[in-house]
Amino acid sequence: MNMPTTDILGGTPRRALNIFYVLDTSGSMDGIPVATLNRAMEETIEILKEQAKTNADALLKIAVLEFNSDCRWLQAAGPEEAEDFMWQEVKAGGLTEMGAALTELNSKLSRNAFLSSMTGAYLPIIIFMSDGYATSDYKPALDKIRKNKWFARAIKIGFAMSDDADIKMLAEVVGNSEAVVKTNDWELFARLIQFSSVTASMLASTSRTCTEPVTGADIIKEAIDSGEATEDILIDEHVEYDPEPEVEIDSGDWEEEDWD
Amino acid sequence: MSKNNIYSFHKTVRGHMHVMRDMVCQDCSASFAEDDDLFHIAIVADGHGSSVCMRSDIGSKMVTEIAREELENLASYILYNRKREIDKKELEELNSFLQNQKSDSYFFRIFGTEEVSVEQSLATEPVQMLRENMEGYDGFSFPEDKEVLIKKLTDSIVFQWNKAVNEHFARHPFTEQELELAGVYAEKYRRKIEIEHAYGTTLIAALRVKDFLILIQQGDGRCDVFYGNGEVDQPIPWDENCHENVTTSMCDFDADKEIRSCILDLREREVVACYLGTDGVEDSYRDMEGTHAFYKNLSCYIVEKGADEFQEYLEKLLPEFSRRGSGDDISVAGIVDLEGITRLAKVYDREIEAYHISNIMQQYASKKISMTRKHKILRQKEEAARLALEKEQENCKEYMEKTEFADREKEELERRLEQVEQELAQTEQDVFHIENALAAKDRSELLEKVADLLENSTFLACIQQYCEQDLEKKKESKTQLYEQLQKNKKQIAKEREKNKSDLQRLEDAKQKYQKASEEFQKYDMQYQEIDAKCEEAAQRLRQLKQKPAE
Repeated sequence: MNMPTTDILGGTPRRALNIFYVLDTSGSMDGIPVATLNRAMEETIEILKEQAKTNADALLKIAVLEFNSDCRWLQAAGPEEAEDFMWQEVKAGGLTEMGAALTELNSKLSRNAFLSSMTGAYLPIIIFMSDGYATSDYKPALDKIRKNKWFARAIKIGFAMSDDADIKMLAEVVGNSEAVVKTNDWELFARLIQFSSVTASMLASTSRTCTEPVTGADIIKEAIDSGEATEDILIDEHVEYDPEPEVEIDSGDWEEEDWD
Repeated sequence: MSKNNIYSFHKTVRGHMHVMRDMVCQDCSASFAEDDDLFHIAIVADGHGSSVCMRSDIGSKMVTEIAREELENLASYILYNRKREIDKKELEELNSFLQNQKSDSYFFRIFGTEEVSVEQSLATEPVQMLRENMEGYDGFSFPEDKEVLIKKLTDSIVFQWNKAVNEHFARHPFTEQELELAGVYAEKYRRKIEIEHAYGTTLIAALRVKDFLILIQQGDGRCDVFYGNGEVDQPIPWDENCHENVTTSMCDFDADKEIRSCILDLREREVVACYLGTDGVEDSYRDMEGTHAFYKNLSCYIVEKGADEFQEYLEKLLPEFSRRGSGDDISVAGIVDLEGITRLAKVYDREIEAYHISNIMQQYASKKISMTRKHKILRQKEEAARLALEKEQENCKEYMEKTEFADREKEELERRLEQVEQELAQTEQDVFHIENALAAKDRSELLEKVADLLENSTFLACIQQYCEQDLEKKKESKTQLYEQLQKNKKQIAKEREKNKSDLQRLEDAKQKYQKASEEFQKYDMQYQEIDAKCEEAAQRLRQLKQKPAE
């Protein structure tokens, strides 16, 4: 008889590596901030497209959630492969409903939603950016999303833009104050969001081979060590915040396929 | 390879992730074929990967060895009505061992009370003692006997494993290095509480003996059973406590109650293959169909290449399979009826292809989701560029008409100029010839000839004069036409200058439309291609489903 026409190893798709951007587009972002954000994101997407071409192990996918008084995915059907992703300009206006954004994100961080994939996925990367204070209580939504395993184990980075940004909120959202960048410099933001996206995606797709899992704080440290930024971007270590509860990450059995 | 065409095998490979992280292989497997082919055993065990289970590799080896021994005992009992004997010395050892157990240990719960004694649990005969003296009694003829036997088997495995673990621990207490890894369990381990947890492992085991296939399982992993009619299922009841990255375990306090089992009567339903796999196999697939396809592939390979090459195939396949799939350790074991799978190999072949095609279709569907928004945006951009071009064309309409008229006029003038220039050239040539004729040496001879004809020697001079006048006229006409053309060109240039920005916009709009159109057409082609491939795959899938097995 003939052997199976299809090799059992043949056509194994690459694991998905999802990068989520959760971006504040409230009224205070009007003007240069939103213009820089649009430019920075466009450039970041282009760099990720190039990176995706050379990453044989991971299928790089992008999802963008903008939030103001409401929240909206740029790609409502699910994360898009980097090569297909097209940045569409966002406009500033409205309030800063971080709670709504976290609730929306939580609903999509599931294998039944945005994380459905042929052969599982790498830990997602989630990058938050906000320039203000949440206009309503985000804590209930944060408590819920912290129970989401994908969120708990994701590489999370926060950008606190302007002096008016709620550093404590961002530290709580990303779970670690060392994973938050604070700056007024939008050009620096443009450089760092590119750096963080590229570095995180590179490390995330190889993290299964590392002894220690990669965290958002590692990415920020890397940015400082490599001279992309100075230590000024780190927030005051005395900032009081509610850190993310510890989860057991370094498990030999990688069974995220079973997660919801 | 056995005489009766029953083939058993096992293979364990260290997971790709374990290799990269320099972690030991925590899986273990075994298989056994009795010399006379009267029974076959297959076993896989998956030691837990959590850092608190730092001795799970030892635990999985222990349970594999114990299960093999216990299944052999059971096979002997079924085949020869041979009972497990526990001698006095062993009993004394056991009792002494139990006396040292902590109150929260498995032993204390099971054997430390008055309810059940070691002797009762391990050494007493089944309730149906008398039946054992019946001729040809296989220990399985009565349903209640099966239950009792399987219970004794699983109890014994749990007991032996706990005993082996505790003995190992007694000989090798935890080192400081191990305790550092143990995290929240470190304190318990220091106090020698729940030390079994450090050895935690799953177990799946199969025994094919006489007309029975006996299956037992604790924890996750899968046991695929393939039947003679081509069907496949996983007959061991699933434990709902095995979910996400949580599994029940040999180290659980109530492992003897959790452990599941199943007995298949091969006289009622033909079994052609039974495969056991740790979760490294199923985690490499999005669904259980993938796991079935994996084992069908193994069946086809055994049929095609035979046992020796199959072992080599597993050697090569499994590490790569782990790398591309779950990254976890992988163990597979099986008991295969070669005749049966040979009969079904072509069906499996088709089903494997169908599974792969359905996978490909999913990939295309996912790709289409990824492309749809960009496709829409590019189409909108093309449409917007087309509308912008039309608008610019409308803006330039009057000018375009004027320019078109001037262009036509210019073309006409150029045509006429060219005509006059040609005529002028001809006349100049005529004059040249006449002048030459007049200057000729044999002029007198010529004149004589012409005079003979026209009786007037001034005729040539007249022709010359006429030609020269004609030449002058034509030169004048050329000058006029040339001036007119220059004027016309100036007029066109002036008009163009006047509408330069409009024209630039029109030109830009043309280019933008061209670019947008090209971009959309290119992407649309890819988009349609995905659609076409998806349809092609769907068609192939339909064919496969319709095509009867050859």
